[in-house]
Amino acid sequence: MIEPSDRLEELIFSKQENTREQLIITPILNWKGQVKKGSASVDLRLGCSFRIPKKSRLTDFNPLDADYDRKRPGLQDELYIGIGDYLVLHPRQFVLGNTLEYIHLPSDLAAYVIGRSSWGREGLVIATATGVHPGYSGVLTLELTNLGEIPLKLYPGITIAQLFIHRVNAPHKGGGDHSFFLGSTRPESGKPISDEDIFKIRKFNESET
Amino acid sequence: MEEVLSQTIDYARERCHALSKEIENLEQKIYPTASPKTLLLFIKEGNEIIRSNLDKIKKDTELYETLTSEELEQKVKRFCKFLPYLCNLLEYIEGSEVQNTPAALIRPLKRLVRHYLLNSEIIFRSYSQLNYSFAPLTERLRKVFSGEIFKSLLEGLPEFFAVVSFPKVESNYVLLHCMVGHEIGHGLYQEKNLGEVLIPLVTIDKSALDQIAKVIIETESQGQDVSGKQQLSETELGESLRVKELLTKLINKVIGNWVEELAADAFGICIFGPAYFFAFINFVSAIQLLRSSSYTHPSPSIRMKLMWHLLKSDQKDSADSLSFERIFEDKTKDFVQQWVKVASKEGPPLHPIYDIVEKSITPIIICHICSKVIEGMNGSEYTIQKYQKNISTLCDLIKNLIPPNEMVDFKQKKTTSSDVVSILNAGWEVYLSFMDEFSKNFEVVYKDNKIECDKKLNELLLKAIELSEIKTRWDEIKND
Repeated sequence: MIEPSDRLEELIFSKQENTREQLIITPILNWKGQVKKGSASVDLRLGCSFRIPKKSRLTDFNPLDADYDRKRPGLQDELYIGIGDYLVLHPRQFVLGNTLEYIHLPSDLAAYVIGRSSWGREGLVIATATGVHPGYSGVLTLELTNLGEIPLKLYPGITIAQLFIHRVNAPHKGGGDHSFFLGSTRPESGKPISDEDIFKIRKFNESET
Repeated sequence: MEEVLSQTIDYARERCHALSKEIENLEQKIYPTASPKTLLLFIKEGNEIIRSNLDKIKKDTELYETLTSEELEQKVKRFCKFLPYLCNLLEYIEGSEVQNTPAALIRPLKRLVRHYLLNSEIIFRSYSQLNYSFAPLTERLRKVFSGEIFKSLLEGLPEFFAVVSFPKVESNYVLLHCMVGHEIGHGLYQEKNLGEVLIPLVTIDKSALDQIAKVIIETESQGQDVSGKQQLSETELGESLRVKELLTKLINKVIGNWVEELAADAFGICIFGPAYFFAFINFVSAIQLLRSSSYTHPSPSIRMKLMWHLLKSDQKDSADSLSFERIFEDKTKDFVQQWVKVASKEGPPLHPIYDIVEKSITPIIICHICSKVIEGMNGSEYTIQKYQKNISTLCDLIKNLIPPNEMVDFKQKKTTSSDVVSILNAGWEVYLSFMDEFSKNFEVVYKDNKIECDKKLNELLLKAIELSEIKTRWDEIKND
């Protein structure tokens, strides 16, 4: 069940005994503009931190590589662009950004983040990994790609995505998100495969019987 | 000779050209505030004045006929001598780019400084030293570029322009950057001319001074024992006076330095509250002996005594007569007590000069420094009431991995942005008292990895500072 905007305001401003069970979206710079009456989502803004892939001598990006974690940070430049300034996203360019808002979901809520259609029509793809789990705390990383033909100026602070909040039927009390991304404050690159899976995939052919 | 001079001018213009190219490069970079670009503009205009004057000399053929070659050389050098100085100023810009600073912290810090020093421009930059430092620019630039030729250049100079440097390796550890309070304190000390009031209050122990003078004369007289003599000869008396005069000068200089450092510490506490004290212990204890003094700095133990004096004092305006000491969490209280105890312990003997100075900085002098600094704050210091009102709510947010950038009034359905100082104080309280609870958020990912958890705490605080500043600025614009 998707929570409508009126209910969202109620959820944010009804004090919970346990802070962990509070829905938090902070800051909401413009309530009327971001939580529109009659809608079922909160508009989210583009944050100020970016990770920009850089040219490197690395021949491939192999998640099974034992040095994967060590090599990864050198493949991206971190950049901070303050509000009022902008980043130019060229056609076919890919950068990681994040939402300005920091989100905390209680154990009975989950969310989906999707791009705003007006940006999509300019060729901007905003988020591909869109699920946000109950218990998650952090900014949301946005995978920004310009699929259009002309460069786009991206100003931190513009509304760029929308968050649909869903109620979870049977919340897992005391659990919640324990992922690597918990507490993210800027765009994060993650490990796409778990260590356990890596081990099994490596051994898969060796153990053929 | 004319040929040589002409070449000199050409070479100087080449230096100007190289400088202007570097300025162009630096102009392309992104800075968290406009302050670095203000200095860059100063360098650019200074360079332009030099270049245009060199062009004039080069083209003015009459000069070659009327002036001697020495006079002409002097004239050229009058401009060129400023080039190395302008180049040196670039050092303050390097390290102030967004990539080399915790960019989200710089704007709120500038706002904080402007609260105390109106219309000030501060460049915050990282550098390779493991140290925090303060360099006032306005007076220095006015002195160096005092001639008529640079008159227009000085007109655009901010009233208070300074550079605060912090260690690059600690760039993302925002909790430590409360040390900046001390550097801002230097600015306030100089701005308010507190030295004129405070230094004369310090009296030197004359008998201790005489004792050192005697030892020096004894050493100079190749081991002759002069201490037992009833009367000194005229030469010995003259020598004794000369030594005492030199010693007094040296001791006065050290007193001046130490009083400024102590006052800057007091300003640090007034601006950042207990957070400055915690940052000081964390940073200084790792790299310096508690009882080691120097020509420029009193020992950390004296500095801690002064800070503790401020923190344990009841604030006058407080209705309940509270002190910071009494409202800390239990673990924080224990931490503070341990350090205060260590700082108050007798240490090994100091260098005789520093010993005299340390004895001159009596508890009464420390009280004077504190009261003059509080007076200088004009009621704008970080108060116990603010600490008491905000910290537990903000700590609760941090413990639950939520940035403490705003406080929610659930009844009114309103939010209020937290100030940078409260955020940092809450951060320190969590660091000292609730780190176990905070780390539990990461027990699956990091498992007892204290370094990673510290890093996460600092990142969360930096995010809170960033979001609080954005919200504040957003609301300011809306209300304009």
